[in-house]
Amino acid sequence: MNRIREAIETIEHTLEILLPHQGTEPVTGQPDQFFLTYNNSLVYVIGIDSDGDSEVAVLRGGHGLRGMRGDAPGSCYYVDGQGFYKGTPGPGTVMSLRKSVRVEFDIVPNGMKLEA
Amino acid sequence: MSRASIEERLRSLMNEQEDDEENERSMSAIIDRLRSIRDALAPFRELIPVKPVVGSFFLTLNDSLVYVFGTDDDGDARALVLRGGHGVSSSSGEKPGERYFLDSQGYFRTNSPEIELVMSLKQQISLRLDLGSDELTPATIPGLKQELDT
Repeated sequence: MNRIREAIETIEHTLEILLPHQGTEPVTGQPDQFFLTYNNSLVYVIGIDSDGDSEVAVLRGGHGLRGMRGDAPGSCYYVDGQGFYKGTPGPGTVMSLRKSVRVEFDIVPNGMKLEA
Repeated sequence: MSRASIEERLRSLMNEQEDDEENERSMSAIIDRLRSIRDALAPFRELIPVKPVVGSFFLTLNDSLVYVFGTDDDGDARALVLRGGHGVSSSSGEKPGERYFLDSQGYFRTNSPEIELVMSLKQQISLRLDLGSDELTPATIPGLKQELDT
């Protein structure tokens, strides 16, 4: 695999996702809330640390770059106080918080149903 | 793309990164940064690096001069920057005297598509030491003088 070409293609894919949102900004993380990211991943804000960064868990999606936080469901990562993916701006930026989503839990006798 | 224009773009990226560390982020700035990285890497899109060889000198994609001095337990090569560097202050291999890692294929070791990939190995070079009238002392560097004489 040519990693230079792979890097360029990853950047171009990231630009495709971000360009429609140029001029907009992410939303600030709120504890115990669900969010959609710029690549439509579903994430959950676990909490906010003393620096104002939010710890976020990936429930569906992820940026897909192995070895980086937030790549796949089950992985946790951080967003800063603005809602931007914490780290060097790049492909991970697609995991910044785009909008909060309301999730209703419907408790049923035999289990729990989740409707996003 | 000329070396001068690559260096200019690297300086621009470095300044953008420093600005980003100091100021609030914006989506537009991130998009501009990604475009800059893509454009800086574009001249090397089809280039396959050379594999690192311990004890050898190499030129990198941005014509930095580096020396591969060893390997680690994972099989990654360790390189020392002698001239040049990628210029990104938050990353190893920024400038002469810094060490960084290469994978077994000769790519700068990174999980993310970053400008530091310009420190991947382009060409192995051979350097001949001109010792003039000075002689190495075999007692100090056993075997080296004989090796240079042959």
